[in-house]
Amino acid sequence: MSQTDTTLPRAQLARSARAEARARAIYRFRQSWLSVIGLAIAVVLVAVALLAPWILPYPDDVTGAVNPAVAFQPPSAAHWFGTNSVGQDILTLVIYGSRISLLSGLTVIGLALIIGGALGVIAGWVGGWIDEVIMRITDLLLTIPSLILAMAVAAALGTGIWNMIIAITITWWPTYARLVRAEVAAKKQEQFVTASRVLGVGPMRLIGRHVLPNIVTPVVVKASLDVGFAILLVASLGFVGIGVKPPTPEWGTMLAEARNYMPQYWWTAIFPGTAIFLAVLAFNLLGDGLRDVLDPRTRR
Amino acid sequence: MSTPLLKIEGLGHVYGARRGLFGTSPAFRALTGIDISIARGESFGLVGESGSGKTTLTRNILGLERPSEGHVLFDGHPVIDLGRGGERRLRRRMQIVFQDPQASLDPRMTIHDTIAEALVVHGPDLGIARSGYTRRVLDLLEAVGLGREHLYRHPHEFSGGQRQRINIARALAVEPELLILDEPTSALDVSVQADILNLLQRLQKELGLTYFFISHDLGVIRYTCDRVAVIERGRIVEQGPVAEIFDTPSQEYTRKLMDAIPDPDPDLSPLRRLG
Ligand SMILES: Nc1ncnc2c1ncn2[C@@H]1O[C@H](COP(=O)(O)OP(=O)(O)OP(=O)(O)O)[C@@H](O)[C@H]1O
Ligand SMILES: [Mg+2]
Repeated sequence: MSQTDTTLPRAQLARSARAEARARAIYRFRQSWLSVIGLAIAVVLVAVALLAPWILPYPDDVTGAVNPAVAFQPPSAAHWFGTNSVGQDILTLVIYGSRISLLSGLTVIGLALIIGGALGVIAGWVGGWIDEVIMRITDLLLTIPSLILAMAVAAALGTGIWNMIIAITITWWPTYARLVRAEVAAKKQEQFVTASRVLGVGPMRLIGRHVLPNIVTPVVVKASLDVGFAILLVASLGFVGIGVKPPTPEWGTMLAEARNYMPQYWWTAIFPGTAIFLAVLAFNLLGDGLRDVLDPRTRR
Repeated sequence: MSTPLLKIEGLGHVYGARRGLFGTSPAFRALTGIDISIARGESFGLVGESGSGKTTLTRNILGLERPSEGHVLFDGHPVIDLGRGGERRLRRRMQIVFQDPQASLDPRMTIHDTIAEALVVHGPDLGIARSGYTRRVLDLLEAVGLGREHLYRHPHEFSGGQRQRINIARALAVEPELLILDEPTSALDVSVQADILNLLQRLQKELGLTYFFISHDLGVIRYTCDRVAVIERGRIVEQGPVAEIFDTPSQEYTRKLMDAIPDPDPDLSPLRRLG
């Protein structure tokens, strides 16, 4: 490491140390070209989802407009990804579908993280019977497959994107409660936490300043991987017909419909299928890259 | 004589039975009938084999564990059930330096923030305003032989000896009266052990600290302490002035501990460099 000039003003010293740490982290991330690809795809996906209203080639198609005259057109200059059985532009549907997939994937994981994280911190920190109760509830919920619960919710409350998000979240937060509980319980025993406690630091600050910052790595990595899996689950629910309802375009739903026209009209399946594949891949690669960047053991 | 700074009377500690994954682990008695009295300004040593209960004793002294029997009095007052304000006052007066200098520093915090945390909690009592934190941290770093260029580094950027200096600086930040040293040099290279011991001795003189010094190494105890207690399987088997215990150990166990010191290579011994 370079020698730091001791005559530098304090603020500047702090900044240079932090800037250096950041530069090293970015360097490590870029060392792994797979994670850079993951990040690139994820950024493109998010950009496409955000810009969707302005870049849709055939905006009317997302609200259910049909055009039987141009049904099943193969990919062409006018329809890059071809058209489906009712003449809707598949590129338009795939672009709009990214909104649904990303919105539900990120929302599910965000909610799971908040609920599971909060309960995990309480269980891991407080311990005792509170821990027991919270962990028994998570064990119970973990035995319910997401798909089955989503079907039950769909049957009880009807299908729809929010019912689906709620159903997936219910089965997903326990995984975060478990992870966070284990991490918090382990960090609570760490000597640096004891040292701060001996200094007179209160529980809120112990958790906020010492425990949580030291467990972000596994949690963020898991969250990133999970966004990919959540997108996949949303697509699966769409595929079996209990997710997002048409006419709202959703990748899994599109794939299910395309099944009827294979292999002749292959483009109706290949493009939404590729979109699912890329989205899941992107968040997996990103998660792996983040692990390298955030792990303090590699911070040398 | 005035009240001893630390008085331990009939202290016993039993670790409760615990339900684990593979059945129940039975209750374990770690300490029995400990009586120790430490005067202000004294260096009191504690030696004993691994697992003899030394760390358990420090946790009871710090009020982190509730004694099963007996009690710990700090300056005449109990160290548990103090309430929020009482506990904060106690924390200011008694600090600890742990054996593993790396594990006792938060890997994600800069040295500045680690030491300043003591000031965040006790600043008002110490008469230090927020704007004075950095100045004070710098003074503390300088007192332990570190400098301005170390302020905003993270623990992994330091050597073991430097990390232990940081731990000492943090403990001193609250201006404690009693400093517990739980094997403060045993995780360090022999070559830096002497530096840390010298530093501790200088600080004790300058600040009038009272030390409760735990070590495996009888040489270290002999060099640093005025009085020593020998602990065996949770009981104090012998205690008295260092010279007396070392020259005429009355217990077989103590003799065994002394024999257990490997024949020191004079070139490696930390004591050689102590002069
Ligand atoms: N939380 C605990 N629950 C049950 N038993 C414990 C617990 N902590 C320590 N013990 C047991 O109490 C005994 C004393 O442990 P302690 O850590 O106080 O020893 P020590 O003298 O500090 O040893 P060392 O020199 O290795 O640090 C050991 O037998 C240990 O296994
Ligand atoms: Mg110990």
